Amino acid sequence: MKPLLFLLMIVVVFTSCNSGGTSKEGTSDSTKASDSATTAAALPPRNPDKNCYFGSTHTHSTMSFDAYNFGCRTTPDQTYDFDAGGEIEYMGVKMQRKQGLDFTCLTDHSEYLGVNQLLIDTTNPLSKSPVGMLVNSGNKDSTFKAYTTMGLSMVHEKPIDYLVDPKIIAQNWKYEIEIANKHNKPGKYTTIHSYEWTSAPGFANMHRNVFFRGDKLPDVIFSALNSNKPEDLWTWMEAQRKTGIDVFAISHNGNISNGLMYPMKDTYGNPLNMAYAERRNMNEPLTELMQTKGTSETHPTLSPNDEFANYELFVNLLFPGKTVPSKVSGGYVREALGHGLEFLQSMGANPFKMGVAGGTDMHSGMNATEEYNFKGSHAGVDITAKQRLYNPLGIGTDVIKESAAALTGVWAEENTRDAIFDAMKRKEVFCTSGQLMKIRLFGGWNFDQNTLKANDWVKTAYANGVPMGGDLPNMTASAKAPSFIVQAIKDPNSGNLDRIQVIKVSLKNGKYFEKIYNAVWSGDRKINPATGKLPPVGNTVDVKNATYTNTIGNAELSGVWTDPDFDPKVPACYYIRVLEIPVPRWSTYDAKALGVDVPKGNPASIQERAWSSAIWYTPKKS
Amino acid sequence: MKPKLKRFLSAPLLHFLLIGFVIFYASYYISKRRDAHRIIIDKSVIAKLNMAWEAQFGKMPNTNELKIAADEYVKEEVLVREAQLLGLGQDDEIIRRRLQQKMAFLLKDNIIVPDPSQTVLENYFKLNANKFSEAPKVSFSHIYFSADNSSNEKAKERAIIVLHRLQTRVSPQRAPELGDHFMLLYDYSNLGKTEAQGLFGDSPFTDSLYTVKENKWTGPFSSGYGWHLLYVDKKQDSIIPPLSAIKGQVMESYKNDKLKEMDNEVMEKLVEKYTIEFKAD
Repeated sequence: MKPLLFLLMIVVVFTSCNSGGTSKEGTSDSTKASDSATTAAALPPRNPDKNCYFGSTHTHSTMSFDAYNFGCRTTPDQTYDFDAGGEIEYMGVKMQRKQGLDFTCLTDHSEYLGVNQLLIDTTNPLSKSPVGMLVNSGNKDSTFKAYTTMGLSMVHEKPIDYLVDPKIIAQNWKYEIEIANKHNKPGKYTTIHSYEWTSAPGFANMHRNVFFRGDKLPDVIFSALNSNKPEDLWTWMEAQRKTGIDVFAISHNGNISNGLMYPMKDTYGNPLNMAYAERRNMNEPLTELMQTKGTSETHPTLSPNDEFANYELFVNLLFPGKTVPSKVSGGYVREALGHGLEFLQSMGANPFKMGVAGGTDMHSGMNATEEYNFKGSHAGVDITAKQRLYNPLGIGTDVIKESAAALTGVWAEENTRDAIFDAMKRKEVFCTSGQLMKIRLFGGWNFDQNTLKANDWVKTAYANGVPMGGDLPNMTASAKAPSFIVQAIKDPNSGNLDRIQVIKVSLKNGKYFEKIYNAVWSGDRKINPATGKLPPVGNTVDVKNATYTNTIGNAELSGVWTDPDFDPKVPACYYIRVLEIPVPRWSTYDAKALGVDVPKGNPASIQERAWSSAIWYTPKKS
Repeated sequence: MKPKLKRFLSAPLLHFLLIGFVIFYASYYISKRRDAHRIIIDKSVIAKLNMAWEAQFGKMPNTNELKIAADEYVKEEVLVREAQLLGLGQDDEIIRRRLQQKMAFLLKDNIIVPDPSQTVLENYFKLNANKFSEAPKVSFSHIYFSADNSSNEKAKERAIIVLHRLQTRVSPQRAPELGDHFMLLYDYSNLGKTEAQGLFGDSPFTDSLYTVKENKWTGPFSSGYGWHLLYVDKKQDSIIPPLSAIKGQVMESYKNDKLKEMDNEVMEKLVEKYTIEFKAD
């Protein structure tokens, strides 16, 4: 008996000692960046003339609620492996890019980030919740319903309360950070920390992707469930910058924003003012011009004289089970550049002084932009050739309207997080429809045909002008008009080049106008003096066999173009558009595989292309 | 009652111990109860609330906002404690996972991998040499023949004529001027296949970089851009660099592997502390 008693006493003493104070919160589980491992290796020297790096600024892995519910199981690890050129298995198919990319921004939706992983855990009570039941049904219609339920909760601003535990989201964000760090190899392949802010009031796509410089990151990210107003996202980003976390956002899918992406009024219905313009430019230096859900450069109704305007359009809102066209005006980049100049003249600030980037937005976990290598963007919805050619996407548009697009080209000193982030911020970037075409644009007052002849013309161009995304320096006394160096080098795995066009947007009587000039082209074609248009380059595509030959077009196009209609009194901006010769569209490869005709109303071949960020001219105040 | 037991029950020491036990336990219980119902908002809690507010709204809270935050904190704290009293956390999968994760991090953080001796590192390097092999590299010069505004056949013909000239006399190791202007570079050194593929495409020219004989002009080979004559002056097959050249990389890899190993050992030791019983029913 005695020993028992003694034991009891000891237990009491022990427990009472232990009861003092709450246990300390474990602070040791902070993210361990693996950067030290990779920065140890020597980087190639920085190139002041800049190198061209290709990547996607937009993609989704299985961590995104919608991708998961479409059936995508590609992990962030696999996304990076695939983009860096490796082989992965996707929906039972082996996938590999012919040419890997230089960088990736994995932009999973911050709303409900990674919660599907909890919903499928049958030991977790959440798996028995209404959405959990749908996710676990094993039935495609029900999992699609899970997607629409979660998506609609965002549209209607009614978050599903049991799925928005900020701790879970923070934890999953930390996981994304760790995986991105693991794959970041300075000098070889860069991963940029990023996520998507998915605001969609009334099905108008107001989405923005958010990007961070280096690895200084917030623990908690601002999602559209915090607020679906871009102004609030800006406030949050501005607060981040104050704490030393550099960040900006890229807007996307103006084409399906119901005309709200580049608005004439702010979210509260007030007319735009100087403060709005400054904040928008600071927070959103770029906009995404193309992706798998269409091109937002321009629309035939906005640009009736542009014979290349009708390119890979995707015009309906993402409305489950319904076809609702998105309002055109307010949703396209070229018009926004024009409206920006109008605002500049009327109120003294340009709210839409933005460069252009490209991402895929594919919900397959892969930036699969090669036409001959496209297996859909939405997993179970479009994994077979039959689905892709004949099925509806389920949200207002047919799968066949998807594009195998797009990518961002970046001119940076080296392939590192900071160098790429900084290049994007200064808008020295361009968008391609998915191929690796390199394009350059420099603007100045004294470039001529001889400038390009020197071996070190790039140095001269930087010294005497500005690259894409810049502002023309003050007009020199002897100058009559700005001149532009334009150059395009084809993707060695894709079609030859047809032409380089300069697209000028300027003002007449306070209203914007656009004019398209053919600057350089292949072959001995002549501009038709009556129409001002250059004849088509031709078409070598054999539709039945889904092949083409590079017997037309050039490997390189370059030249110096001077504005023949320059008016120094009004603001203007200039960007280039470079077209490839026609190649088979992805759907043509599918039609060949199935032995059928390309479904009517769809192009068999497309002219892939690239668009530069603009260079702006602002008259000196007199 | 047996006398022995009676004597035992009346022993003063036992009384003393018993009374001591009762007093001690009662005071412990009361203080514990009181602690369980005391919520302290001190400087550190306020600092935390301020930080959380700033992270969410981008500014420090004013007095009123801080009061709101503190009220929320109290509510949260009360709910958590009540839930703990009811034992609601016991079978909660999310809490279990979080605890397990925290513990795993804690274990890992406490492991420090010591720097290995030179011998240990050398042995590791020997055993894992394949991990550190470098892809083949090539240094070369080329002459470009463009088909732009001409034709593929004509470009190839011009290349063959130039090649013939280079092969029938003592030839220079670089001669870009014999061909057309090329938009990238004429000379590359130590180029790996991945980079070459990025520059010249998936093409016969890229492949031939790694298969042709050194120190002579060969071709023409086609790339995504046109035709090329090629002079490879240095080839480096896939090699494993000496340890001295990649010591940092090997060290990093060693430490990563060792960390995993030690982590497993710690886990095993922890598991050993437990008796595991399998019961079929």
